[in-house]
Amino acid sequence: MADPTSLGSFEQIVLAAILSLGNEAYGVTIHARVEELSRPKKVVLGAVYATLDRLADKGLVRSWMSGPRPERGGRARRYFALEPAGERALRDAAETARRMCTVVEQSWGLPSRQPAKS
Amino acid sequence: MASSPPSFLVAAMHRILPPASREAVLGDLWEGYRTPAHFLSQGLTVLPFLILAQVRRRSSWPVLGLQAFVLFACLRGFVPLETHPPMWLRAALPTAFAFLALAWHDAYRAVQPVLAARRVWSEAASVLLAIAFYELVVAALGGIGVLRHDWLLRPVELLFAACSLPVLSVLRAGSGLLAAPSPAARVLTERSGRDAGDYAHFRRAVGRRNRLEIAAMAATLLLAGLIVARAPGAFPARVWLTLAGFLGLSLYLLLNGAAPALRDGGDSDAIRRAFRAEMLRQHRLRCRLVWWWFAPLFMGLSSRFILPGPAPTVSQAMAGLVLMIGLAACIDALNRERADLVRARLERLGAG
Repeated sequence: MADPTSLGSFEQIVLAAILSLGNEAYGVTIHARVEELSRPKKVVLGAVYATLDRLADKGLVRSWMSGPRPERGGRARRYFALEPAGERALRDAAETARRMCTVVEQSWGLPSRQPAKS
Repeated sequence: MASSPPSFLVAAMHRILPPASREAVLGDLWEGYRTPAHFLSQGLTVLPFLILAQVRRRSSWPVLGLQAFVLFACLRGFVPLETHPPMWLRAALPTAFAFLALAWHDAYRAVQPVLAARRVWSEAASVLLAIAFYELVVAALGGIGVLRHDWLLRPVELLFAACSLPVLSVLRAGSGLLAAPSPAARVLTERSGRDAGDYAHFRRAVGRRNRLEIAAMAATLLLAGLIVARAPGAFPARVWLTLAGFLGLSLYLLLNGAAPALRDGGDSDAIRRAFRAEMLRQHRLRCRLVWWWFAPLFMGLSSRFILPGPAPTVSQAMAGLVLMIGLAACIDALNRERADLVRARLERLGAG
């Protein structure tokens, strides 16, 4: 059986979008942020929904409904946030990406970027 | 430019979006509204993803696989006759239509749990509608000369397809124990506490499912009786054994299948112990029953492919073996899926 915490590249982007949006992560904003992160590729809104459902099934994100909102014709927003397992999976993916980046930069003779100081 | 989509478009989108994602997705589409054409195209682009996501989340693949197996067998797909069009293909197409209809039904199922009986009937109706739709398509294609009319199902095949419905329904009723509590169970929950109310709901669900299963077995026995009475020649002993088995199981379910009533005056722990024991007993019973329901199909496959009178060809025997292993794998997967549900239910009971 596949490891539920192993992430596909699109899942990583969606998790990163949710993380960066904080308390404002719902369908429209997540889609906009995912498009921004995936530039120049266009991303279909439906693919974001399908991935969000899959991440929820894997226990990596949780969701809840807001109250009705007038700017949405009285409909609720479905907000998303990372679960601890989602944070761990994203951190692992980011570490792998950082190591891969370092190897590529060294192989191509590019100056290595220093990790951002927190 | 209007800042909100036209109401007729909103109403149309409300109808076509799967209920589980309707509220949030419709709101998102509204928020991103630019023009009616953009709203419509966004909605239609999102739709296949939503349907597939709901099918993945809400369909039971073992149940769908077993239903397809049963329907294919009832449409005589396993009969190795040299016909044109081939028997297997004539059976595979309506089976595929019915399979899609059942998956579609899962995607559009109400979010709130519904009574198992209502679910069973609506799914049987979906299968019948899918087969009727297939017949209409074939008749229309036959009318314009694209397909020959011998692609249409024969009356005997339609009769067998209708007779597969009891088995399909029994398979679907497996999750009946997790369906909506009846009004009586809700009242009992308020009066006697959550555990007693839950047990009453469980007991009623078991009763309903036993009645459904006994009715399905009676329908199967009746049909088999009609076939045996009208067919020439003697039937092999295994047919009689299977029928006797169905009769015996019906009697067992009738006499010993019900969940017993709780004793008066039991505390919460005693109720939970009784609930746990009965849930496990019912689960074991269901697991065995599923195997028994498919015993005729196993026998049919072995007599058609592996023991067909004269020595079978290697490819025939291999095909039979693969089919029997596939069928067994589906049954095993279904029993595992149900075991997971029972385990989750027992954990909730332990935590409650």
